[in-house]
Amino acid sequence: MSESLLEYDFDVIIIGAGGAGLRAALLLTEQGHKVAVVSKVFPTRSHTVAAQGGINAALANVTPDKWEWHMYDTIKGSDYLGDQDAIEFMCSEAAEIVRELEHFGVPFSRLNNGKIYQRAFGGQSQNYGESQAHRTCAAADRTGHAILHSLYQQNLRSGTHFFDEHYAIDLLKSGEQVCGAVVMNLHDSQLKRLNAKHTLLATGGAGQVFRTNTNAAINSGDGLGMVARAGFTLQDMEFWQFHPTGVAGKGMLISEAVRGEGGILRNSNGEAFMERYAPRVKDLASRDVVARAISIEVTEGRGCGPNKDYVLLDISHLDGDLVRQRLPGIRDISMTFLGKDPIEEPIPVFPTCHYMMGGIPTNLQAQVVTPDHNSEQAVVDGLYAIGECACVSVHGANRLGGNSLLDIVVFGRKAAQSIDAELKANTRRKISEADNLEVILARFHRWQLAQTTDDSIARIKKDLQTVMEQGCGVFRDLDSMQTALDKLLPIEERLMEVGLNDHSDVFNLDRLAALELENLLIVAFATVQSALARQESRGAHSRVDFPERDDSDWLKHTLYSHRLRRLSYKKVNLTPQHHAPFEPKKRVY
Amino acid sequence: MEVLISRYHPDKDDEPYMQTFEVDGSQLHSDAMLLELILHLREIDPTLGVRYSCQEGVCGSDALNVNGKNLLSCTTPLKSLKEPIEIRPLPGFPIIKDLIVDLELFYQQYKSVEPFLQSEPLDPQQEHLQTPKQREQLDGKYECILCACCSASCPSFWWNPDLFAGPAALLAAQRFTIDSRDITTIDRLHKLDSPTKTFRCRHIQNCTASCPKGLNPSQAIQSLKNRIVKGH
Amino acid sequence: MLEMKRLSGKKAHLWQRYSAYYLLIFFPYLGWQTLNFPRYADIQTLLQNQFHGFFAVSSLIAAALLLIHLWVGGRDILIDYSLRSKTVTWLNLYQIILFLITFDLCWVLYASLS
Repeated sequence: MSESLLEYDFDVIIIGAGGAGLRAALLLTEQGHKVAVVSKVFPTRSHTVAAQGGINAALANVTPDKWEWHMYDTIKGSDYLGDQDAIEFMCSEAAEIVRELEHFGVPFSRLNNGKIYQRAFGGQSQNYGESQAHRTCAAADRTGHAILHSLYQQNLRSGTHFFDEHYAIDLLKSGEQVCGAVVMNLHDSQLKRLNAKHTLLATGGAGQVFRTNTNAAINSGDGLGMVARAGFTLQDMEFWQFHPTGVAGKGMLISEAVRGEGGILRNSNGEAFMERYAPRVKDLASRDVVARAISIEVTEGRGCGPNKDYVLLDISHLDGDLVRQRLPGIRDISMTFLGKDPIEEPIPVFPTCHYMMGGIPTNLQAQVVTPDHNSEQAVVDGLYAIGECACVSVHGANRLGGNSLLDIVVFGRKAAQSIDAELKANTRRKISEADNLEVILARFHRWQLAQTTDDSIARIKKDLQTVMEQGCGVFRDLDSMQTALDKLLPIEERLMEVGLNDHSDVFNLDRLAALELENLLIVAFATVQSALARQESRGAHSRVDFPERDDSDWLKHTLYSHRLRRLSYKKVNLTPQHHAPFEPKKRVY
Repeated sequence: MEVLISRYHPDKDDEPYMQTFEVDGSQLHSDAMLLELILHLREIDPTLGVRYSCQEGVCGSDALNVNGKNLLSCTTPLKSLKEPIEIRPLPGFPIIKDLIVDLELFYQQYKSVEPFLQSEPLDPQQEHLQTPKQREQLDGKYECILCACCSASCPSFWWNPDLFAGPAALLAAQRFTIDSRDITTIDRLHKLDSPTKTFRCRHIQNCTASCPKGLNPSQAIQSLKNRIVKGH
Repeated sequence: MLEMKRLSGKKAHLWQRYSAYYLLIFFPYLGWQTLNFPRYADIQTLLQNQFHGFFAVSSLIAAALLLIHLWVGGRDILIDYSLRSKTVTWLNLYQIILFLITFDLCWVLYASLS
């Protein structure tokens, strides 16, 4: 089989062609390096395309603003788990990176003076917690689409090389160094060995681990699976953002922009209930706060609909033209999937899994770090990670809306800059010879040979998603999570034994789903184990049995090693480089 | 309900054929989209090949020809389709497997119109200014998701997929010629002045009729032609 | 010899437009003119009688524009429907045919005037 392995050499391979991967690719090709981008879908189908509301930057186009205020809001939003040096870096780069995006062609909405339009979003304030800020730069409610397409277009200009519809199976390693990846062409199952001096992971999220989610089918945590199999750790995997306003029962995202433009959440009594949970900012509280509020309203019997299992997002009081102009995509989703025009009828919503705050731990240069033998954080030579799959950590225990698009472009560019500097400083760096090829091929061959069984990949995936939803949802406790963990073990066994129905080599989606499910299962284990151990409530991790935040014991990042099935911890950075540190305070909105 | 799906596995079939499935409609949600039905069929037969991803009509993966019309399966309510439902791959492209087609020519044409902004050098202190009115010009042009429904319904593109840019690419071309920030308009118009690339469009308007995002490529091409004629 | 890349887009488009506008006016005018003639006249007398003054000039322009219109229309059809490998051959053949027709028309014109 290894005879038929095609082999290529690159300076850098980038796995994933969402906003992060494409931003990095653009800089690296412009600098003349030999770069390849591997994407399991055509690049513009990456899930960045679905981001709606916008990207945060203190441009001060609408309200007075400073990046330091943005930094404060982000740290507070993260429930003080975010690394303050990383957050400082991201927020201070924001204004410039947004202008750069504009320069790349992103069709931002505009103000009358010709500047970029900015809207209000949850968790944003002026002057360290005072009045509401308007910080989210938007292209109507299709900002992700606009950014992804513009970045792809600029990559066409620069001539980046793409391996479209290629699936990354595993990282090539030489000792503890990473030296490329084995990928598979989905069209014909041809395996390709991409040797590289530097490997950049930008594989996005893993929301498919929960049953109801806003994520695309492709968000299966492939980067996390690869890193875990390579023996490195995953960080803060207990923190999953449940977006307060997913379409009830279906999961499509209804952007926070709806509340930013004035939308109000109401329960079955018609009450604008957020007033009780966040008296000052009401519907524009942080996402974890709003998601919990909705869950409580429904649990306490104030849900709407025949089953009282959702609340209503009401924008009928807004001007119809404003809705058509600022929220055309949302209106479209509502009319398509619910047959309701939100200008006239409110949208039924319920929290749905949206974003993974945790991921592959990295430093400020986007280099992957993992504990060494002495439990010190050591850089993994040759491996970088950015975007949702990475945990640098700028989102801590809860991400603010509008910070994810910012994260991907800031760290996309930063990773490319550090790789570029490294390639220029170290011109004699050779590509190392991998020593784990056999292991990688063996894993792949198992799925090639797996004969049909009664059980199926689709069934196992559904069961996994249900287990995770029941065990690790908006609210968790020891029982729910322990039950989930107990159920994950038989699921793991089923996955070891299940066979496939499709044995062809052309677009074998069954085999692809099996490889993806292996990654999802790792993500599930990481989530449940990390969450079980954290005996406090912080950000999106809300434990019924430990309802308070506990800074003395738990102001630290969780690290999960799948190889050892063991947890360890690392310090939160509380020392930004320029700004004075923000001491953890009680978080009220 | 009765569902007919075009099947083709290159390793065992000489040519595509229609396979009939009888589906118990009660297994699906009452307001299910077509994609839900297809995914249900994939559970019955995991060898059924189809692309899909976001499931909400923004990634553009799941364009299909259903009952003769090109559409996105994830935004098409099952109820809106007459039975038997005939599902085929997008017409005019080589079939790779079942409902999956090779869109290489489509992408090539998109790339050929230089679909990227070329503006004044970046000033990190200040964005390029654009009035709301100038920005409004881009509405209906930039939202394309490259699903290929339009080009796959265009007879001119069927005949000349290698020469004619097709509606999706020309919509993108038009977007960059009218973007107030782009400084290469005249150059762009000059490059588009070709009987094959642009003027192959006969305004049949199938593109506009089939666009799942409600865009109007035909009108965009009309304005593009007018711009080419005017030369600026 | 004609080559694909030398074919024009904008120019052809404009010629086709303007020739169409002209012919749209000319043909009804021609019909109206023809109705005024005795129906037993042979084609030669018809032509001879017509080629004078304003009508002669407008007819000549119409003939020229009709040929141009035919060229662009026929050219586009050939690009659309002929086999790609044969398109250039067909276009050249078509061009020759149109040249022959032009030559023929000139000859008829010359013959009918002399």
